[in-house]
Amino acid sequence: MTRFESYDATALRAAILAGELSAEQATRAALEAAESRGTALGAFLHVEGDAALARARALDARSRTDGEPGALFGVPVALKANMCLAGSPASCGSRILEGWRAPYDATFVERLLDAGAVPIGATNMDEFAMGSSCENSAFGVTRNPWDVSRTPGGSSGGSAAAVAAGIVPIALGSDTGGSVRQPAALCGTLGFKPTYGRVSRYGLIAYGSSLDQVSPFARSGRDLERVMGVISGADGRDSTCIEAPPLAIEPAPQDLTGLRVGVPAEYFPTDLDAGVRSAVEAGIDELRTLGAEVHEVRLPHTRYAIPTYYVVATAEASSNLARYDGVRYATRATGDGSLQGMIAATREAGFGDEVKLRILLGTYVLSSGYYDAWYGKASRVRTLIARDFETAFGEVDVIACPTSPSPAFALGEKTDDPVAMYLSDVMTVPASLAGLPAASVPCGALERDGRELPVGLQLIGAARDDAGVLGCARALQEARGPVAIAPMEGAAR
Amino acid sequence: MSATTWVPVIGLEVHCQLGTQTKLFCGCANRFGAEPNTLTCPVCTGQPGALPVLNQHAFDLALRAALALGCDIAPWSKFDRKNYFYCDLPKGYQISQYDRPYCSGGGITLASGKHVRLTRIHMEEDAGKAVHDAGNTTRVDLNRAGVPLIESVTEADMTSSEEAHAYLVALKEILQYAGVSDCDMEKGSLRCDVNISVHPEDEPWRTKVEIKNLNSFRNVSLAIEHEIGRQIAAYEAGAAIAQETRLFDPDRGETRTMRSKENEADYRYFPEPDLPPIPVDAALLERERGLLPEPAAERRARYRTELGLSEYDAGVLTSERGVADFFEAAVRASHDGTAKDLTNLITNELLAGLAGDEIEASTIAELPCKPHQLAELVALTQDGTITKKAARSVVREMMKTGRSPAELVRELGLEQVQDTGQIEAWCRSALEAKPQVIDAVRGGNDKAIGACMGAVMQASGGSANPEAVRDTLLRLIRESD
Amino acid sequence: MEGPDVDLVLETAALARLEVDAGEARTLGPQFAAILKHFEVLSELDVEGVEPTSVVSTELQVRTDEVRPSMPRDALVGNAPDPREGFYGVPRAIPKRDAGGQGGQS
Ligand SMILES: [Mg+2]
Ligand SMILES: [Zn+2]
Repeated sequence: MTRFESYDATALRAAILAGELSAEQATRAALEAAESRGTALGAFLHVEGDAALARARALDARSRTDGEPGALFGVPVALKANMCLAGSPASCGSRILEGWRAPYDATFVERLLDAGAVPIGATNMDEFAMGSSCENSAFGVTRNPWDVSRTPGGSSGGSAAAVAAGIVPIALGSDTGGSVRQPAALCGTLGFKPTYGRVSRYGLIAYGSSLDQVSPFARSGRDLERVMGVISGADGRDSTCIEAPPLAIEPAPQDLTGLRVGVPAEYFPTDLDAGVRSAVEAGIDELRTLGAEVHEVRLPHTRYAIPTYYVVATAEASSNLARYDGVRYATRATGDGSLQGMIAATREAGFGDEVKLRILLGTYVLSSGYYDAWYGKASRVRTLIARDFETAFGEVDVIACPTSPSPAFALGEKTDDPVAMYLSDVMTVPASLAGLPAASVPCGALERDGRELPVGLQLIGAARDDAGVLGCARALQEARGPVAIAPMEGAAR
Repeated sequence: MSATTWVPVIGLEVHCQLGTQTKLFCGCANRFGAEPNTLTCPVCTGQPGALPVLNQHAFDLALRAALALGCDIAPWSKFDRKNYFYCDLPKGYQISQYDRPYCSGGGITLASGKHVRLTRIHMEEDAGKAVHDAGNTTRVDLNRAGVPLIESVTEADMTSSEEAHAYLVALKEILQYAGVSDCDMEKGSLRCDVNISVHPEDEPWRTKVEIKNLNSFRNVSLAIEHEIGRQIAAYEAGAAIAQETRLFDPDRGETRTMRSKENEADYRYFPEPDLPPIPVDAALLERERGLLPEPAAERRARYRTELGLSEYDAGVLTSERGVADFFEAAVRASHDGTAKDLTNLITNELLAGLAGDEIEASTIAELPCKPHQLAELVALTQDGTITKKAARSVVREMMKTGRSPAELVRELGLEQVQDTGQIEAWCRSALEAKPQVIDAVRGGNDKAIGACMGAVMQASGGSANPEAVRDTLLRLIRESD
Repeated sequence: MEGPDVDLVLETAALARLEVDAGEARTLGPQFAAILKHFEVLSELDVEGVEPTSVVSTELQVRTDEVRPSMPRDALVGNAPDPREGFYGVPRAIPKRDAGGQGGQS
């Protein structure tokens, strides 16, 4: 590992601008790491080496007089495979989009490129972001760089693993019910889900439209702020995007003195993993040391969040995935030779089991006679969950709790039990349903089977208080010191 | 024979494309007749990751239509997804409105005095077009996918094909006048579905059948007639009518089953998460109200009472808003009392020209000649410069070139001959050629003078003032006593 | 009859255009049932008078009615499994369709 691979994006950009290394060297290092460590982890579905190097060389050829260099100048980044970069594959981890290349750039991709970032490839994910372990990809699992027999979390497991293993300093994932926060916690990186609408979804391939948010992984709090500063802000191509300027790229560090931190009892059940509990409590103590006041808050509808989330997300998904019909793009199966037969055969051959299960669930909860009891009910319970948070944020500035009820679990451990798998999102879905900003910050580790596994602390903020959550996440990370790059133990086996 | 009196019950659902520049949710042009799939983008082809953004003008036009039809505007509405699979539906769902349409109520009072109530109007996006080849394939063109539509649904208030036809004519006129749509059925801008049942007088309503695929007013009438007959025949034979959707086959003039009640699609409507609710503010409503034109029915009445036109002329002039606007602009540029002359030139020359092959323009507004020029032309007939017959030849030139009438009159040598000596000479030779006219006139038959008048007009090439010719002939006959 | 869970899976699969066979339905049926059972906790709650949350954003962004360039046809139709003279080719699709007559259901 070369020295600069442990740099965060902020330091790497500064080093490139100072002439310590070229953008091309940084990109080559990332590509080599993607080839070696990335392959061992199954982190990437596709690496675009030539295109990345061409972009890096173009940056190096830039004259010093070309104006202010971008906020991510020369920084190699990884994109989850559900993001559109014109001309590049974006399979969503699905056979049904195998070979499909995006015909256009996502808004957030355009902004990354304008800021001088260098995308090196598409990371592995649960098919169509449906999963919490990265085991539902049609193209193989991704492994946790802290213990390759374990899951990196999901669905953005490839991006999480790539950042945790030091392949790239930052990567984008998408968070629908925790798909960035949970893998960030399990892989020991920072992850941030913005307020719904803070980042344009144009070019993010939809899973649950009212929940999906483009969300970054990083190994430093300041990098999270930097990448959010680049990708956030109003966009005329997404009607749900908040009409607000981008967040600050280099905000002043936040002073936590007097910050009211709420701790909800509902997130510390008696059966919470003891190692998780003590690491999270240590993280909360750290906040106290930084000057925060800790209060207890109640979020009484928390236990309804998982069913509510799975009804809403699968309903939206069943509709969002209807476009994969074999007519206009990607793969097609013949079926019985009729139009509807072709559509059914294409979907049968193209979708994996978990996707089919969720399409079935979503179709069912919307179908005539069941709508009121399921989708209608869930969208009302969603209002109650959002109100819980509104009440709590009348009393506190930020909520602190575990990101995941357990550390990284073994690959295969929950694959046959969808309910157990769904429950691994229990700490992250409430903020998703309410559209709130939430970060996961490494707060310690626990030991399992002789290996150290990271634990994440979740910080949830009030709607639109992205800057507050990011500032708090950065203060906590900086107080705890640099985030370690995963040792890739066991990768040789 | 049964003596039952059967009463048909008819409701209409009309889809109307809005006359916007662009589609409902993307910036692709809303244009008919382009090469297949050349007006498409990631949004309207349902590419992964693409999202809809509402065209504000489409919503404004929809509001205007609702105002013109007297509907109640909802303070806010929302879009919903209607889910079904078909090759012309790119996303696998249509963005439509379900339980909160943007307006409800309203209706149209037909010329007969019958009021047809509207249940609601909602906005939605159009699907693409599937062309079914002779072989084993269907080809899909998505240029139309995403074009803005309003779907208006009536109560089942109509009882005959004539009423349904009158309703459609009136609806088309109102939407055209409001500038909401061109309502061109040939281009598919207006499409109609019919709900229909029959029941014996004094009995409750019976099972209704929906007929789709009606793409002309004529087919609507034919389908209704056929379906009324089919249902009555079935009941009288003791059979039942199934609740179903039927297609009209224009070639055979009959309807046939498309799908039965059991196969009724489950559309799984739910709120469109990609589009927040649409508010309607008072200022927007007021602006659209201000843009509403005077309705055709009111214009017709005014042409009769204020301008003294016949019911027939008033009807022809208001058949299209463009024609009525042209006529009114010409009237404003003219002296009083010229409305009939203007009407004759518009209906006999301009509209006939537009219908013919020689003129390229397809609407009166596209003609090179403008209303004020028509007013100038009529003024030239009023002051005796040219005859009305000459005016007709001039207007035929004007509609090709747009040149000024005075210039054309001069160039074509159509000024009336005012030279009395010349007119008298023509009259003398005409009377010499037909001396029997003199006797006839003296015998009290003034009409006989027509034979000589024709000869003089011919000799003058139409440029002699007919009044002057008549006066001269009568004087010469008197003088020859 | 395969039992209520399996039948439900088969009916729902038809609606979702998923070609689930009886064997798959026997695997999916119990999973489906287990998930729904877990979700039944929602029925405990009284939501009378609570407005639904379906869209999180409350401000609607709109666009003006200005034409923007469409995409070159090849960039889109070129990606199709069966491009035909500028059209998307599919197996012959009449007369039966899910909804609507030719010329657009809606
Ligand atoms: Mg419709
Ligand atoms: Zn388009």
